[in-house]
Amino acid sequence: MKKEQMKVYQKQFSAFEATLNGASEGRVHQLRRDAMQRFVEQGFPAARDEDWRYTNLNPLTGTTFVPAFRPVADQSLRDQAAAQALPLTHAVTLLFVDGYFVPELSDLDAIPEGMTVRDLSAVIDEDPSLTDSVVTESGTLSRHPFTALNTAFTQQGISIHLRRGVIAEIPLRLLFHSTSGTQPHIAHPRIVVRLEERAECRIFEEYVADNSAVYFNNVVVDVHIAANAVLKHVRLQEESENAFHVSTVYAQIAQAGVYENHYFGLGASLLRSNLHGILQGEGAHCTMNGLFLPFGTQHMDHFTVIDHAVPRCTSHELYKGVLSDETRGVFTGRIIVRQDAQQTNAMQSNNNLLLSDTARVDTRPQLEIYADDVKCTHGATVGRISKEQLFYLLSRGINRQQAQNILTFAFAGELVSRIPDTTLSDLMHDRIHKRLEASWKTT
Amino acid sequence: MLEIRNLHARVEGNEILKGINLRVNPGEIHAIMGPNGSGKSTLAGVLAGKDLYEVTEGEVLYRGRNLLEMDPDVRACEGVFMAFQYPVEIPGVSNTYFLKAALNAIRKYRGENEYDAVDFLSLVKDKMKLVEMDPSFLNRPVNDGFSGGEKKRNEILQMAVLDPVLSILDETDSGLDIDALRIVANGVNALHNEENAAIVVTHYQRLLNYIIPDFVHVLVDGRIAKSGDKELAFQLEEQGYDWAKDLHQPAPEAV
Repeated sequence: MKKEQMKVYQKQFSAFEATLNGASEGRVHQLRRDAMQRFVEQGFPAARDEDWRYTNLNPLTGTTFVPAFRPVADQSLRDQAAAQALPLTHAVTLLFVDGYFVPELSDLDAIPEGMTVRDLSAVIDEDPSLTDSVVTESGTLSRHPFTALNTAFTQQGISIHLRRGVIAEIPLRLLFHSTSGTQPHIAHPRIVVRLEERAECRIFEEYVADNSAVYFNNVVVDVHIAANAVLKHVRLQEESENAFHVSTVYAQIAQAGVYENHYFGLGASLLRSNLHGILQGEGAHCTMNGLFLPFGTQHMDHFTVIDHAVPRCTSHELYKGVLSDETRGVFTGRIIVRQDAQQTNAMQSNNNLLLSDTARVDTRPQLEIYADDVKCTHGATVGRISKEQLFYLLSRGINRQQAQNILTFAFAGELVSRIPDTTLSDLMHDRIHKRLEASWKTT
Repeated sequence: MLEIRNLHARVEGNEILKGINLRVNPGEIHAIMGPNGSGKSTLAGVLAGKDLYEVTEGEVLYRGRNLLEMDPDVRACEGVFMAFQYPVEIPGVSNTYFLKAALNAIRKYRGENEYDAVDFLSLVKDKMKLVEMDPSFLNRPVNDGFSGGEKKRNEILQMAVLDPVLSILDETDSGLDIDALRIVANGVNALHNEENAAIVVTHYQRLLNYIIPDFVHVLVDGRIAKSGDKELAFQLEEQGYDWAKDLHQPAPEAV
């Protein structure tokens, strides 16, 4: 099966090359070819691969996907996406349909001064000198077959660039809408975010879909944060219940730069989220907050790496899972403190709440510390609703269902309140509330 | 209002209550005293509906209905309130949210209009004065990081807001200094009227200096060994529970 699968992807790659016409000779395309070759050599990760141990990819590798079609820009597409998305009115929205950036349906006029947003393929075609900073294949990620696959097909996507010292007050929303088609489709969106020195902005990345659409979103986000720049990145993954979603975020943070990643996972039948933060300059900081709420038979696997490469950096990581029904959750939290990275301060915790007897979560903190003057704390818990707390609420007249909702939200709400945007935080609060209520109803 | 007949209950196979009989009428305050392990907290827990306890014999009628068949939340909606000996901390849930949810659950059960945020806030601020609590407690998570005294005052605040028919105070005095004790007792006294009733479970007599009971019952080894008026509490204070343990009189019938 593996060989047949590879043939499918190779065939798609040839077809993709054919559509590129003259553009298939440049440096970028050489990267694509290399990436494709790497992907074919490696194949999809096997269960014996330690980093993929708890996730069975067979449902994904066993599905034949066709490349998504470039959508025809029509206002109805924006309306359809808006119907599924959070009713956020204060953000500049960029719309992606089936992985393709649709500039005609995006608020390009409202892009703040100092920010440049461009279709990635246009950037790549025009200025090959940007290649290295645009399409990174750095570090451990280059060995990651899903990233290689994304690179091979790199064209759909966007480049966001913020000039030195620019502070964008209005958040930017990247709204990804996947439509249902006759055949399962695959998309390889690539988002490249570059903040120059002292620049600051908030980006809200949101994935929504038509009900029960079957597709595979293979997303890669490259983040480059220059000295003293700040990026607050909120992600809401609410893919269709039949979707596959693999996303890889790779953030490089320079001196005194700050990267915050706030992830909320509600959708997809199979999710793998890879999140790498590389602290490359002294005094840099990385926050990783995550909340995942699978229900039904959803499988959600979160693989996070924080790499302290230089001294005096800080990182703070909090992931929480609320698992109902027959769901499966995985959390891997790898913290690497390199030999030079003295006076590192790293905090990590992962707490999980099981709502049913048939839900399961695997949590793996992995600390690799090579420096001696460091402060690293980590903790992981797996628990259930406290009987004492439940009885306390019942004894005050609150019925069982509401009491369970209150206690579940008390567990999960912390992450919602940390969202660095009050409007977004309020909207997320409602969305998460609704989801938790639904989780209890099915458990 | 409350009629307990021959109540037997056990915890993890151990029989703790061995035939309790007690009758509480509207307007009455009953004190239940007894040494450690006599079954005081078990009795309170059984009345509130804690599932840790298994009732093996007897019955409890509350306003003519079988209390033991009601779920704990239904009991609360019907007007039964227990102030916990160890109030539970609930991080992540604010005191306001919790209290409002509880009050509205009860009002909804009774077919009354639910309070909106404004009405609720004015009600709760009024009640907070009763227990001398600072309004800043409203925004704090339920009992989280509260001192022992603050937790007990928070229990009485809940009692004031929910306005129960039958209140059971489970060792509310334990761990309180004299000021907190006075505040808690004042709260209970202020809420007491001819329509409601209270069962005050305590190990020490000193609470009864502030809350004057109409009846005092001495619980020994799962039975009410002696009942009397408040003088009985003073007697216990002077002579200790050993004296009560030697009482061999049969459990008296309801007072």
